[in-house]
Amino acid sequence: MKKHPLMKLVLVIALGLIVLPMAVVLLWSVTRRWPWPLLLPESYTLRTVRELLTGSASLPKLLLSSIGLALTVAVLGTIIAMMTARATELHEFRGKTLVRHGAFLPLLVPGTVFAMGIQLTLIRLGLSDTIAGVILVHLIAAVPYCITIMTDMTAAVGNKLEQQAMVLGAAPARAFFEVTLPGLLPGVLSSMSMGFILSYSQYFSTLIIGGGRVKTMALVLVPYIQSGDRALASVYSVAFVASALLVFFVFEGLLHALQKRGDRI
Amino acid sequence: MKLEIENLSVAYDTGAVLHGLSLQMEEGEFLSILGPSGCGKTTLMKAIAGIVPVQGGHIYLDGQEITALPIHKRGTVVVFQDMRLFPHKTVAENVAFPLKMQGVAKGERLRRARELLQTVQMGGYENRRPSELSGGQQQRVALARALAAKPRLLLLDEAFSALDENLREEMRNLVLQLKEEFQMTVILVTHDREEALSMSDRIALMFEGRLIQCGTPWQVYTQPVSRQAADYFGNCVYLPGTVEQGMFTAPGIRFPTEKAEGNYELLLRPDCLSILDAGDYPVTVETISFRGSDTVVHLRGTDGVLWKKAFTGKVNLQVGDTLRAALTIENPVLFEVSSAQ
Repeated sequence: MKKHPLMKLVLVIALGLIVLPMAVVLLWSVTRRWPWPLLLPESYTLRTVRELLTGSASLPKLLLSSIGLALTVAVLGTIIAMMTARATELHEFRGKTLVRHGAFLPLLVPGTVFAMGIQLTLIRLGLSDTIAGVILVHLIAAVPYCITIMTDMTAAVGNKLEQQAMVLGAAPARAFFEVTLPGLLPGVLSSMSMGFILSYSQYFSTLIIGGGRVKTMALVLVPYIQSGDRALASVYSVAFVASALLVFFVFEGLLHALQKRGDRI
Repeated sequence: MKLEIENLSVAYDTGAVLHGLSLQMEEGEFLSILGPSGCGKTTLMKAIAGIVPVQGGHIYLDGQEITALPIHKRGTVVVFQDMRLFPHKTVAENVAFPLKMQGVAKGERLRRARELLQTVQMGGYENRRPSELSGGQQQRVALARALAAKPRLLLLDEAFSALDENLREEMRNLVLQLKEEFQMTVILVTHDREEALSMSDRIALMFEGRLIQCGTPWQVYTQPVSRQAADYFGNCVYLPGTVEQGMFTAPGIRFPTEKAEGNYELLLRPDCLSILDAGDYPVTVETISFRGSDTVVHLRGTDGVLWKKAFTGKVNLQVGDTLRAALTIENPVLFEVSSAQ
């Protein structure tokens, strides 16, 4: 395919919008002093890195809880989305359109407003200040996106192969896992990535519902930005982005491994 | 297997598709469900396989009621028009799939898959992907996979219409041969008259969710129950006439009949018209079109009826020629013309 020159320009701009700020953040993360109008910092330090690795918030514990939480949301969100997508795409029932559009309602309400509203309900349910509560709120943020991805994917894959499998003697669940899931796999991974990043980057809802008991990267990172310690905020940002990317790479690798395995057997 | 359908009704949200349809089928029979698109023939097939829920009636397979049985327990295997091979599996795994579902060990099922692939002349393709095969090859694999399931009843859903002409002929022969070899009971859903006529033991003709006629291809073609049924096979010509005192009378034709008195139309097909005889039915040549294997000549009778007749070999006719043709009618079919019209 011949690349359009305009396409190239768009690509360069997009890259600039991601790479340049990232470079600045990287630089800031090891900056001691960077007075105006110098192009580069005046002096560098590893204070921030030391703080990140050995500081008050233990990094491994923080990563573990953040990634664990986000993965849980990613998996649950994708399962919910998959079931919703199958219901609306493959079955006929009353109120189908309502379900389809209703799934996007959480997107209409600003996150802050939503978090404060739902907190009352969660307190009543005894889920406030618990991990379960946080997972629930993150799910509400993530599921609409997961549903969008899974709906398109389910519509594309359809249930024709599943019908064929059942006609050939496969029980419904077996038919799904044998012939439909392999086709849905790329969508499942996209949906999980989406769910992961939405949960991973939640700040306000985690703060309100978690009540400070549920610690995540975002929860530690944001106060540094607000307090103005740019160097520390930057080093946490780098750790935040790097850890998220790492998880994406694992997802990507998993997809390839699964597809390869599917190729062999 | 013996199939009995009693008073079957199926409705979708958009309305009823099958209206109380009944049908019987004997073991080892090859039945075609024939009808125009939208007549409900695919729905009937899906109802038999359990893919669509039925609103009323009963389906029995070998005397056992299967109306409420889930799809995978029926033993009614469908080969769909679009083959539906599993893209993530190899050809051998596709064929071995039904055996895997039955819990046959891996080595054994792959061995059986190889055998079945040999049967459909697809030996050597075991490790290919479905996407690497041509349409005809995919069809063969789909057939082998259906056979692997040991169907009690094999359902072919417009199975050959996606293939080109030559391949279609080949696949029809293969299916008939496999039917004999595996002693199968087969239902073919099709809109292709020629296919239904040439392949089946019996044809079930469907219009608008109802079974219009069921019989041998010969019966259905030569003794249609209605003009609609007759027209579906095409090439029909109708001569208007009357029945009086046990005799049907139309220009050039007169024969005794048991029908009640009234206005009737006599069904004629081009083979009733013989040109070379010096008959008493004059026709004029209107158009001549050469088609390669034959030449189609449009002839206009003095009564205004237009005949399409195919001739093989060289045709020594000119447009405008008038010929003295003759009508020979062996099994006359009369349709009453309702006086309301």
